Amino acid sequence: MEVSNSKINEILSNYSLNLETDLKTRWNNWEKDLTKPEQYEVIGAILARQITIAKHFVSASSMWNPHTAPILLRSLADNYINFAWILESPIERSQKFIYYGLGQEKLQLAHRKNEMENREPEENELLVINSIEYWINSQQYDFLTEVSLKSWSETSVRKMAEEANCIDFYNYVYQPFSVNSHNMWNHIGKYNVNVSKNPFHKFLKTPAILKTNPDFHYVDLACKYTDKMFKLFDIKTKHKTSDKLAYDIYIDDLDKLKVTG
Amino acid sequence: MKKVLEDHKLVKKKLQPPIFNSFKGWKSEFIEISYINKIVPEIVWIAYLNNFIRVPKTVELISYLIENINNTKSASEYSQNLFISNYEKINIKEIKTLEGEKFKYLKEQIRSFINIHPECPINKIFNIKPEKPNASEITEYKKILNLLLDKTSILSVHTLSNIVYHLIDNKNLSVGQDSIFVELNKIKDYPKTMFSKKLASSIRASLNPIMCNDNFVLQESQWQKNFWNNTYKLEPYKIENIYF
Repeated sequence: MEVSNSKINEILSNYSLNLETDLKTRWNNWEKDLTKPEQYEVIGAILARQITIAKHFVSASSMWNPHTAPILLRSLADNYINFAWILESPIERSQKFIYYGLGQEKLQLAHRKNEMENREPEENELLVINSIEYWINSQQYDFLTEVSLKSWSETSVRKMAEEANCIDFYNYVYQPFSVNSHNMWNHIGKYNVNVSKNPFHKFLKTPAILKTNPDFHYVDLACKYTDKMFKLFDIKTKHKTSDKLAYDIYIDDLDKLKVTG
Repeated sequence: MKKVLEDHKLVKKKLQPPIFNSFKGWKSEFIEISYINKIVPEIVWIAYLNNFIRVPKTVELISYLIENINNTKSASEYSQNLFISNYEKINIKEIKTLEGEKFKYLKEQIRSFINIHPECPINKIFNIKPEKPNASEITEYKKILNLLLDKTSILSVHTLSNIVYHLIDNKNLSVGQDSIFVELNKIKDYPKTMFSKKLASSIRASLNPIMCNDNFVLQESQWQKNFWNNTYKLEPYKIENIYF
């Protein structure tokens, strides 16, 4: 498929806008209980994160290759597993998610301050420090904030996926793309080495970059992982709609393109 | 470079802040009072009156109201009636029907508040038939809440000082000779003088133990539970533009 095709670009641009509508409709119609606001804040923010990554990804064809696409696809998968796990117990797990994040921010802040201890900090550095302190304290006083050295969920991603009924997603998406994201040998040993053909070199693997063209398959995957999140949201929050999701419209548009050639 | 967070204690892979280990049983002794959840819903009516009729008149009218509604028997009972949640406990049959100019005036001043919060238990006293709040009532209320949400605003500080005044007046808060509250009236200078700022800080701190004490404030009341849900319903947040 020719990715520079203006019709494809138009479809992706519509898809990108429709994602915003999908999120707005759901969040606006979701009945809130402000005695426990964390669940709306966390679940809403995770949805916004998913569409942020998806929107940027579909508009950047230079990313649609096996070198960089898996990094973002893995991030989408990770975000989905967090989302699915939180939805199993939204109040408690949303709070856990927030407190963990506050603790990590506090730790980063301590590192920054530590680095500045024996020198005069610059004005903009102090602004950063103040803004981070304000961000933490506006949610929980930092003198009451613990810093966890475990994972945020205090369990493995695999276990989270099992508990959230998405172990297949973990096995077939999260794990393989993690290999790329963490730059493991089973990724770079395939994509960043060239085997010398010279018999004197004993099949020595040399540094290289595999040449690639943009592959539209990666766009499909990003759209699917985003759609998966909206579908789960609809089930868990009993959101009823007859409107088509951005992904369905995108598939319809692609089908029309195939028909009209 | 020194180790970061070295005053924290590592317990089960978590770095605990010093306060966690500063004294035994701190978790049961230390109660964090959420200003937004615990204090604002209780004092909002006083802030509302302060905003419209100013502090001295509010003090006078609240004293009048509380002294008269149910033949107040004790000082603590008097202080309870400063906080909205406690009106949930009041038996309507035991309430004296109030009349007179002062009461009528107060009723008029509180009417818009009851229109916005028809569920407010304080309406047991006023028996106002709530009407749908109009746009200007809502706009004004938003301004008041905005000020009240900032603990350091003049309205917040004056509202809290109003409460402290009543607590002292009824000996629910003792004031020694050296107490900063001896000069509570200097809060009128807030925030222009350093002394008034110190006073404001003491006022805020002194209310925390009162607000979590069920001898003063009914804990887990319906009013407190539903307060923010009710304000939210007045203007639910609708995402229009996803970007900010």
